[in-house]
Amino acid sequence: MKLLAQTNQQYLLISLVALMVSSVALFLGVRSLFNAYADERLEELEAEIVAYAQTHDTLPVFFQSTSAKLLAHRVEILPTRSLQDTMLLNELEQEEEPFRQLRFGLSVHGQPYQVDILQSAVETEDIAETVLLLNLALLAAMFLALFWAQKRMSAQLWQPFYETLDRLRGFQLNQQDPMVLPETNTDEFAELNTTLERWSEKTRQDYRALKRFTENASHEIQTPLAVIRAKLDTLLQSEGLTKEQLGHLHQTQQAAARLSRLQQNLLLLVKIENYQFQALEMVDVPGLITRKLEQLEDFIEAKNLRVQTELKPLNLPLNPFLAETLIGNLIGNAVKHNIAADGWISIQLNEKSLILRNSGLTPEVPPTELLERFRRSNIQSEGLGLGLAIVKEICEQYEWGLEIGFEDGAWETKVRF
Amino acid sequence: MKLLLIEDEPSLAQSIAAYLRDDGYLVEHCADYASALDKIQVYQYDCVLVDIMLPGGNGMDLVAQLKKQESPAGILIISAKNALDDRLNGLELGADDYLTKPFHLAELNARIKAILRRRQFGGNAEIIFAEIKVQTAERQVLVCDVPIDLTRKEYDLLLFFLANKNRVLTRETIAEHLWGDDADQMDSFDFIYSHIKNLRKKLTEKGADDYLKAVYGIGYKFSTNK
Repeated sequence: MKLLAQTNQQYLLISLVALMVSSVALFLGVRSLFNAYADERLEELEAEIVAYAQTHDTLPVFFQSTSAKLLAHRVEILPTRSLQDTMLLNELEQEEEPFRQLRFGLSVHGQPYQVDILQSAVETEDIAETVLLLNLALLAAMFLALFWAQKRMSAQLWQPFYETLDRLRGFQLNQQDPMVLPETNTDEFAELNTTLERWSEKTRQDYRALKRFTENASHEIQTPLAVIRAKLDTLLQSEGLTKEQLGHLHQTQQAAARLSRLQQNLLLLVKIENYQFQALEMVDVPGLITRKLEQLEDFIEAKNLRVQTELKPLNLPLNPFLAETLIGNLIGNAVKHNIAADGWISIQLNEKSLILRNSGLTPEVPPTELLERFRRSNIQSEGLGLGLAIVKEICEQYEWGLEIGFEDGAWETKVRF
Repeated sequence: MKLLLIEDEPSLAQSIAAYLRDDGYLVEHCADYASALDKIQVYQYDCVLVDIMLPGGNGMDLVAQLKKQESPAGILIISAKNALDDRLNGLELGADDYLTKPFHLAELNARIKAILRRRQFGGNAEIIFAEIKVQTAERQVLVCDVPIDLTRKEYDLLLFFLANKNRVLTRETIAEHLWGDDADQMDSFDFIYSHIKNLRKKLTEKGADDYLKAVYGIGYKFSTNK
């Protein structure tokens, strides 16, 4: 939910409560004011009636109207004086109407009378209601005005924030220049921008250091490996080695070769993860596939594989090295993990996807797990378990879908562009 | 043939130098940028092997220097950096070849020989060993002056053996030479055997001796000793 919507929601809630409280208070206030006013009138009337009764020793002629009434009847005991609200039937309109009533006792000719003076409170109620409605309307109008102003203002106020967000989205770790954020007068945003600029500079530095480190580490590891391999090569040439000694040397050489391949592939993974392959070129994908198949011709022939291709022309803006690695690893896998007798490979390419199918042995682990590093389909496999991890990393870089499955004795790898 | 080896790792330099000296090369070695610069400015070499990361400087600058003084020497960059940019930069500067560490000494040897052939005979070199003659320009092999028909891989294989006579070459070394990085993809080297078998057959059919000896199931050796 947007910040504005959230504040508005809060604001609406508070306004509603304020509206209710203020309305009730206003209503009660207005009514009590008018009641006080009416009471004063009633008391004046009372005083007049008492004065009249004392002077004339009789009750005055009571004038009745719909807004004021004077009633008197004889009673046994003088009632206590009271002021209260009451309802009376308006015979004209056949409606109950509110009245303010003053009741008091009066002795005339030694006879006790109960006198009720009633003053219509219809106007009071009407005024109170009008005031209430006015109040409601005013508050609603104010709320709407505020809402509108806030909306307008927030677009302007938040402008620097959205600009910062935009620059942040475009930020790349390996960009050459530091990230520069727009100047702003708002303290909060200025602070945010300063922090972000400092942060981006720090990550850029860390990234550069990491890049340098991986390159240097590669150099440092390759050098002793080069020494090991050179020494093994030299040892292999020694005269008079027994079969057993040669075997040991050979195995050591294989292990050293494996170690160096591992190191190179891990370095490649790190480099892909760090987006170090950015330069794009239009890559002729079917051409690349055909070239790769030619390169692997010897291996395909040695295994007697039937290769079937259905390639539609497709040019994509890719990093040439990554494209070659992706295609090389996929086709290499299809050749390597094929079966000895009657094996086949089929490659389909169109503008939406690349689908590779090949005959192969039933995997010992779920196919999707092969996308993880160091996962192999068979324990005896001599592969490094990094080929598909590299493919996955490349697909992620280009935001391609990658699916791998095994069904009816055939592997299927699908790359969705 | 005089080679200059510029490599800062002493034990690696020692192995390389020993391997190459066995082949009859005169190998000089220096371990840092300054002494390498001194040498290439004063002496002439047939081929210079240069590491990129050197104490005191960058090997690339040495390549540039060699080119500046129009040295006829072949240049082979040996580097631990497999960075694509370095490879391209090096070749653009005028290096003849680029080899990434770690490498097999046999591979290095074959590359040096190829560079020397190109440099000295303009690609028209003939390699002659006993009754076998290789005309590299036409990629033609003659046995007792009779041409034989070799596939591309068989030809490469023969040249690799001739460059590393009397050396034990493991299956992996051979595979790496013939298929480069693609050899990594393959888990079986058995089919190298069939290439060797075919090559041997084609050579002996026309009267060559059988020089290709299997070495205890780990590899092969082009043996000149009867």
